[in-house]
Amino acid sequence: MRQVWLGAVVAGCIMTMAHAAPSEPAPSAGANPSAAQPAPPSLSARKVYEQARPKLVQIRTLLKGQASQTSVGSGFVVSRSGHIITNYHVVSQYALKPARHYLVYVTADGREAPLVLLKIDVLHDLALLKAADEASGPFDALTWRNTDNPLAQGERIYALGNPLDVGFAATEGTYNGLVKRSFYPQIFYGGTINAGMSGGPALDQQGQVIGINVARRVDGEQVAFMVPANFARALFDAGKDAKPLPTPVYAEATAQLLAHQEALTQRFIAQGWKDSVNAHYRVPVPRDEFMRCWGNSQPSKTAGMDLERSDCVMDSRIFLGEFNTGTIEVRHESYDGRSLGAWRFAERHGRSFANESFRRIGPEHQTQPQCHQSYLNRHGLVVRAVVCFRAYKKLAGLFDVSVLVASLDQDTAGVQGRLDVRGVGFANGQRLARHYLDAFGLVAKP
Amino acid sequence: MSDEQLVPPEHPPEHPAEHLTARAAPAAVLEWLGDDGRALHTTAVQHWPLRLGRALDNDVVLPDAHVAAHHAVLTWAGGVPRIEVLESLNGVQWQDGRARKTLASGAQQDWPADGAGVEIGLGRTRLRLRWAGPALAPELALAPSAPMGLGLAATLAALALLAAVQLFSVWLSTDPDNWWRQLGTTAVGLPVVTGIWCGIWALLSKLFARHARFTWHLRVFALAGLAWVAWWLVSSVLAFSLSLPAIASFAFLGTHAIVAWAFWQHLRGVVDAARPRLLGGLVALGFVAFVGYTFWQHDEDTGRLGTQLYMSSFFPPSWRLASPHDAEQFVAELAPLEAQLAAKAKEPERGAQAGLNDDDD
Repeated sequence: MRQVWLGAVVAGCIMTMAHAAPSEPAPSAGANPSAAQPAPPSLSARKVYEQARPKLVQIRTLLKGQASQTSVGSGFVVSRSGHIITNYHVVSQYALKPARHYLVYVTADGREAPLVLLKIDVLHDLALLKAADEASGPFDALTWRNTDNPLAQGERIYALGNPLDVGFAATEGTYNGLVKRSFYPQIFYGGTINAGMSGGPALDQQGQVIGINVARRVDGEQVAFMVPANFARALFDAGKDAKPLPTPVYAEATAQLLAHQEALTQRFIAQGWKDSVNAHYRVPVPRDEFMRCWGNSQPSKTAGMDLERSDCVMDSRIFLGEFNTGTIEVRHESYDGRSLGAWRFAERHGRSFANESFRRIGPEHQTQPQCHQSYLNRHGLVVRAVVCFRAYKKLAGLFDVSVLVASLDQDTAGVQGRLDVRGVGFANGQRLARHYLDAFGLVAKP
Repeated sequence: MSDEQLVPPEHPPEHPAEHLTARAAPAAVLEWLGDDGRALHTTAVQHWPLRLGRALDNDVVLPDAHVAAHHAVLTWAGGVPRIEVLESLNGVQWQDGRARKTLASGAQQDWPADGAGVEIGLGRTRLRLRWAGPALAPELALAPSAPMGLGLAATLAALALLAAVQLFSVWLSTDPDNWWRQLGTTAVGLPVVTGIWCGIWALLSKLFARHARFTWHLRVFALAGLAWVAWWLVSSVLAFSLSLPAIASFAFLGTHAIVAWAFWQHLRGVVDAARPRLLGGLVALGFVAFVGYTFWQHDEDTGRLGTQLYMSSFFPPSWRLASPHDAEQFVAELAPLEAQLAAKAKEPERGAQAGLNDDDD
């Protein structure tokens, strides 16, 4: 996994950028003074931080009975009555195992108070919390940037939070538009986000919320991601008057994942396949709308089987707290074994077909797979097809489905493909399997 | 017994009158038995009565601290031998087949007319008396009959075939540029592995049966190896050609059976089983128990009884006989999995440990 969430804090580097900030009265959440008033003058990072500091909180998940923290993240106040936005993954331990954990927030001046969970949005990795000590209010709240006033690429923005549990801080970077090929919109932030800053606000130069820190790439420098603020705003609007969410939140998460798999299935089928990538076979390779395909070629060094490979994966995935789901992967390998002869090629073809992993998240989360297999004729191409389903134990109605296909038409050449869909309804699993199988065939000869 | 021999009595008769009496009695031998029941040596009985004890004036002196000075007397009475127990702390242990009893001082016991198999124990010395009356047991073969009647030439042919199959298997899984190197490794490794395997069994045979019987074990090895290869080939080809994955998934049953058969045959060469059916029964029981254990283990690990999640043995495409299915129908046939998996999802996982990943295949 190249993209990581930032909720977990690890010991390591230290950032120093803390300044005392005066508390300022804030307008109520949802109100957008910028829409009604002229844009305030641009503030420096220092000013932005000073203005936001009293509205920042650290979210701590603590073990019951020990009062020791199991994870920390960041959050920010969005209403005078104490509503707080953070990432779902910051509070996922409490959300899934409330019997063992509880939540508190800690302000920049060190005040600690309990929290309740009002609503979650696992698809965009957001959670709406509320301070349980309402008597401490009214609270200072950050304001949202007007969606009618989009940022321009290259504009300076700021990520705030409590990195590595060492103190509140702000980092400065640039807004680089939305991430390409992401299933759900995410802001590409050209700046630094560290562990512990998850759930913290991303602010524009006027100190208005444009997004929520969520993840960074570990294989790059200053490549980080934020959830656009409109999703947090929608979550707040939908949940501000809600009662505390019943926990564990599997039922709520399942409902959202069912909606996600419906959208995922439709978009995946609608995007279609790339044109033929093999001289002999029609092999399903998805278009690049929300997936990335990587390929490589491996000629044999021992006069064996030459191999070409393609892997198409989604960068977006739904983090549920203990595992990821809600993804599609498509890959295939084509083999040229002319130097081997029919017997040797058949042996390698079979060995490669057998060498497929069906690793499950854990026995407490998923059943063992069950498969159905047969020979199929796909537009003149005879293939061995295997479809395996496994069920989620705590996400009723959701399954993982894997489709394996191996061509059986040539003595010394062939192709094998695999489709993996995680977190899909059974009917959509069948639809996707049919869609995938239907894409195999022989290339029509001119 | 092959090593049976007659030896002169340790002590010549001391009383001429008794010697004359003995001439009228049938010839008999007293067999000294080892722990495994074999006769270590024999003492010819030249006269009756025959006195047994630790004192030097006995006809047969027993060098055993658990034997009295004058422990017992054997006489000829009514056409069968009789034993009379003299003054003795331990008496005489009488074993006729499975029937055992202790004859105390003063007791007398006649041999049954066909009771040449009776064993008597004086102290820790075990003796068996044989005389001319009872019929002799038939001669035992030096080695069990060859498995499946395989002669030496056929054994060598089977070994050559097994070697050829093994070389083919290595050729099959080796890229052309690596073939000659692998050939050398296999050419050396195959005889070594065969020699070690059969050598271990021959060592056991030497230890327990006093004959190495190397060729016997070689025959078993060759036959079992060929049977295993044939079974693998037949089951895999059938599974591929006819699209019957269950055959491949449960092929391990045939493999277990072949291993059990080989084990049984090797054991036959190691022990001179007095009850070959019992030995066969024990091996069969072991086979059934191991199959049961395998089923249980598969079920625990993967939730299914067979080994394979799906069939993956491929052969050249022309070997496929099964017709391809309609894809729509194939996808529709997935439907029953939904209810089955939903039911499985509600079952608590046996021995589940949170956070542990596992690989099914």
